[in-house]
Amino acid sequence: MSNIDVKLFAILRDRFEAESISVESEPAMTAGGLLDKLSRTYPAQAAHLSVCRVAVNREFAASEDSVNPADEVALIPPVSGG
Amino acid sequence: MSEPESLIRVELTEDPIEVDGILPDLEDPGSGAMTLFVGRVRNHHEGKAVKSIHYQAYAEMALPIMKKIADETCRLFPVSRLVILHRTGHLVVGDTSVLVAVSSVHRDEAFRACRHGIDRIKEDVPIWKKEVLPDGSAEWVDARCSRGHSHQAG
Repeated sequence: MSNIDVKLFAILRDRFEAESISVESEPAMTAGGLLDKLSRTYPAQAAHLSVCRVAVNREFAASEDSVNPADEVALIPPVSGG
Repeated sequence: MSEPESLIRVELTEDPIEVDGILPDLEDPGSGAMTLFVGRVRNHHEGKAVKSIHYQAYAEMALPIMKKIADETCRLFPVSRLVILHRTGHLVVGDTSVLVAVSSVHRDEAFRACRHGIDRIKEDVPIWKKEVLPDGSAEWVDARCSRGHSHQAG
């Protein structure tokens, strides 16, 4: 099973001390499923992960949208631009 | 008269934003109103002094979303000229972080389009600010706490 490279930004990048993390993909994985898996794998970051949106190929994904290893995937913490 | 096409300029930049510099982009003989929102780095946040702010962007996603917001604003309001600029990198107090400027036929549409643009930027553009405090420590702004503070500049 191949891995999904997940880009990190802002507080998540600091907490993971990495610009991305690798997540083992699962059959029929969804954006919501990816977030759940990350929260299980990294319980210390669960509070930060729970408020993130998932971006797939540079667009916000709905929880049920599929996520594949070829996709560009990123976690989007609550934005604070402006 | 057919609906004139909107001219749009959208940029994500590491260079300083010069407010005067965008005025030529707003020139349009058919527009009777121009509105301008300028967001600047403020010297305090939630009771604490702020020395500077680092803006981090997911640039590959931020710019397309800014363009989408520009298109959406032109669909919703009769906008003839629209400029949306956002800074990234290290900004000090007084620096311009974001700019939304609109030319429209009348003032009501111009104000509403400008307001729509900045509000949507603050909702959806993947940019984050990390405040540097006078003691040198730095922390990410918790956007969940800031939501609804629509009076906050920038």
